[in-house]
Formats: sequence, C-alpha cells, structure tokens
Amino acid sequence: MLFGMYSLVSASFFVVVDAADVAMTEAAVGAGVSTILMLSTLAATGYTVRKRPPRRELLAIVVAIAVGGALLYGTLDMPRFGAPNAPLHQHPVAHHYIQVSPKETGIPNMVTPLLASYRGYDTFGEVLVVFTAGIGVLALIGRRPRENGELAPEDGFVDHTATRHRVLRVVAKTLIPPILLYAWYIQAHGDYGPGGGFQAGVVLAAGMMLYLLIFGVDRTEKLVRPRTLECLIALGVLVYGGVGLVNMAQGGNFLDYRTLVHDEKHAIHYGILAVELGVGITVAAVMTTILFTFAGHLRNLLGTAYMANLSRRSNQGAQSA
Amino acid sequence: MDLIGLFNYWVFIVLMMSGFYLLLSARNLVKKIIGVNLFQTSVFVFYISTANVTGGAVPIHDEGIEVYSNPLPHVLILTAIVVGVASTALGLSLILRIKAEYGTIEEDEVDAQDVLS
Amino acid sequence: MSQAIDVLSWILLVTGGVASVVAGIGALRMPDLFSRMHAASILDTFAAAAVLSGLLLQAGLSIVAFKLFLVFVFLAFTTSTAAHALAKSALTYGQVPEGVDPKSIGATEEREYVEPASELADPREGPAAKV
Repeated sequence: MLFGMYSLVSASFFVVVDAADVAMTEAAVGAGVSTILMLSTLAATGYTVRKRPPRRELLAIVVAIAVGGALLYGTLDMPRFGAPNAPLHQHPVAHHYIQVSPKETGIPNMVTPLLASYRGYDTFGEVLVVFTAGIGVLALIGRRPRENGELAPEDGFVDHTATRHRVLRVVAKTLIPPILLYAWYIQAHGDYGPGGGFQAGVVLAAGMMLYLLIFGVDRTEKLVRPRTLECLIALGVLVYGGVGLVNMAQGGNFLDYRTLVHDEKHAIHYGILAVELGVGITVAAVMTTILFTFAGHLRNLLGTAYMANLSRRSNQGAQSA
Repeated sequence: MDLIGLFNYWVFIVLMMSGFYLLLSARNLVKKIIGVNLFQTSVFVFYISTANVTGGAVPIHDEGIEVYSNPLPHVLILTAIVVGVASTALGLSLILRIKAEYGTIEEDEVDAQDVLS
Repeated sequence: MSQAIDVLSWILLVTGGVASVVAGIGALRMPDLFSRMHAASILDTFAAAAVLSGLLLQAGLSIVAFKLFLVFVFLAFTTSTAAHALAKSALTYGQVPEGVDPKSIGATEEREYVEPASELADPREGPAAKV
C-alpha cells in the first residue's frame, strides 16, 4: 500500500518539475501495475510473516552510511537545482532537441521524437527488454494448464460475480470503456501532449486488470485469449524492427525514417507513429500477460480448498449486493 | 555556499541509501524487491530533478515560451521506469517459484535448505 | 466580479484543505475499520469536490474546466467503489462495526484464513489435486 502511495507522490513530484510524460508513466506503472503485482505476490506467498527480531546488519549500515557520505561529498560540486547554466543544459544536443526538433519533425512534444527517432535504438532495446520480461514470466510461471484444449475445471468454485457484487460489476462495466478509450487517446495524442506508447500500453493493461479483478480469470480469458496476447507481444517488436528493416530496404540506415516516404518531415512523423504503435502493442500485451499469469498462479496455488471455503463463507456472509 | 540548492540531491541520497540498506539486510525476499524499487525510483528523482530549469516549462513546444525543461533526462527515465517494472515483475515471479520450491521466502531458510540438499 | 470569484475559490480551496486534514486525522484515530473508512472517504467526496470546485472557478469556462469535472466524476466513481469493495470483504471475513452483533447481519463470527496450499510444487501442475 505504501508502495502505491510512494509512486503517486513521485508522480506528483514529476509534475511539479514539469516532467509530464514521466509523471504519467510513473503514475500508471507504479501506482497501478506494480502495486497489483506486489499484492498478488504477497497473497500467493502467505500473508503471515512470522514476527522475528529485526536483524541489525552492522556491515550493511556501515556500508550504506559510507556510500551515502561519499555521494554527499560528491554532490557538493553539482549544479544547483534548476540552474539554467548547468552543463546539462549547455550541451549543444539539448539546444538541438529543444530548438530544432519541433521544426525538423513537426511534432510539438519534444519528448516523443527524442524517444522514437533521435534515440530510437534505446527505445528498441527497451521494447526488447519488456518482451524478454514477458517471456521470462511466462517461462517461470506459465499459464493454467488445459485439459483437452479446455480450461482447467474449476472444482468447488462457484462464480458469484453474476449474482453478487452488483455495485462492483456495474462500476467496472461503466469505467472500463472510458479507460480503454483513454489508452487509445494517449497513444494517438502522444505527439501533441504527454503520452506515447508506454503510457498507452500500461493504461490498457490497467483496464484489463480491472476486468480481471472483478470478473475473475476465466471470464477474462474468454474475453482475451492468452494465445492472442502472446502473439501480440511478438507483433509489437516485429512492427518496431520491421520499420527499421523497411528503412534499410529502401536504402537508408536501420531506423532512419527519412527513407519511408518522399517528404522528409512526414516520413519522420510516420516512422514515429509506427514505432510508438509497436511499443504500445508490446507493452500492453506484456503487462496483461504478466497479470494473467500472476492471477492464474494465485488461483492454482490457492486451490480447491480455499475457493470452497470462500464460497461457503460468502454464501453465509453479508447479503447486500 | 548556497547549500539549500542541493536539497534534491540529499533527498535522492537518503532514498537511495534506504533502498540499498533494505536490499542488503532484509530477510524476506519481497522486502528486498521493494528495496530494489526504492533504489530505482530514487535514481529517477535524481535525473528528473537535474533536468529542471527554474522558470522553464513542460517540454512541449508552444508559441511564446522560450525556456523549457531539458527533455533528454525525461526520455532516459521513461525507458528506465518501464524497464524497472519489467524487472520487478520478473523478480516477483522468481519469488513465486522460490516459494513453490522451498516453501518459504525468508532468505536464511532458503539458504539452509540449499546447503542441506 | 473576478474579486468575488477569487474569494469564493479561496474559501473552497481552504475548506478542501481543512477537510483533508480532518479526514486524515480521522483515518488514523478512529477505533474501527469501518469508521476509519468513512473518515477517509470524506477525502474523496467532500474534499475533492471543494478543491476541484475552487479550481473550476479559477479556470473559467474552458477545456480545462471540463477536464476538472471529469476528474471529479472518475474520482467519485472509483474511490467510492474501492471503499465499498473493502467494506464488503471485511464483512465477509467477519469484521463487523463496533457494537454490532455479528449474527444480526449474517457475518461469520471468526476470521479464518486458509494458508495457501504449499503441497503444490510446480505452478504449472494445475489446481491442487488433494484436499
């Protein structure tokens, strides 16, 4: 819980120092996806942490304080907060990004062409990292096993969502379409305001997660098949790399968008849109897959007994819908 | 010496060292992951605070605004945030597997089982 | 006229701030889960409405005002639902408000927690066969 609050406070800090894109990403990722992952891990590994005397690691404290002191000494020479004459702002690259890139690419938001075009290789690497994380989670935990191609049977678990939890159901059904629309808005509007592929992917995953939390793993798997998601994970990376390969095929360098169409400015714009789409697809698919695997694992682990217990107790529990 | 202008670096150092200490000394593996995350977010705060220009605006081009905050660290940190959540997800799934294999997620119990087997 | 709008938005913002502090103190000091939840939910509804109305008056009639209004709508939806879900699960696990007899509202008496099945070694094996 504190974790989510901490992410939200850092996102607010980012807004205050005029870092709008970063604030949006941090809010979506930290306060949304990360918190849910932590909570499901804690649920799957047992709530009760035995009270043990906290261990005083003297060496760790000494090392931490020593490193902290060294860093503190190192920062005495650093430029003051917000100083306009810091070396970071004097470098010609910063001037190019701020002054020239809106004219050269025609995109007002300076972060988007920087992310997708000037530093496109870094973003490609990052999409690959996200892809690898998705594959890693799938390899470690895997999906729920299927018998004869069907989903594993749910013994003892009665899905109460259709009859109880009316408030939650209605609110979820009301909120999820605007969330998905907002994700698409962020994706498409990344040129003119804060936004872009990552934020859009994470917000879309958050919408799917809301559905997952309220309606359960089975109905969500009927809605979006995990096999489709796995294909989408790869599709995003393929789109990104594909744009680079098209550039090479047309005689330019890898990810040099100017060779896409004849007009250079438009070509860069199209290239950026295409790669942001690839990024958004991969990030959305990976986040959703990770949430699916965590939820499926939780369901498998808790097993029949817990579910039966829960059904019995919610049968005799509060009656209001 | 205008030390108050260094405040953002002190915040970053305190956060980073808290995460570092948590990483080194926590027994529960989930707490270690939280320490790693604390460490990572402190680095984000550091970079973004260095990108700020007093009196600057959000780096979105608009008529009549001359001074903008530096967008380059924003881009680096965007990448870093997403990579951070990806590595957190991988770390947490490793913890789930450790729990399934060893039955516990306290570091010393896992170590003891490793030695015996 | 703009003076009046400024004064009004000041009043609203300060009221929102005071309500937030009161809600925070209440969320910490109340004796029971349900009263704490009620105190915290003052934040989402009353304090949010006051602060956002103050900002709305400052923004005038523009796209920003519409966005602020949407923020309030979504905030009211989501936080109220979160409080509802929390209260519901608390009742399912047998926590009742102070002074309420558990049997009278049908909640169970004790709070059991079933430890997750640790016999399931490989998560890819599927739901626990035993139990």
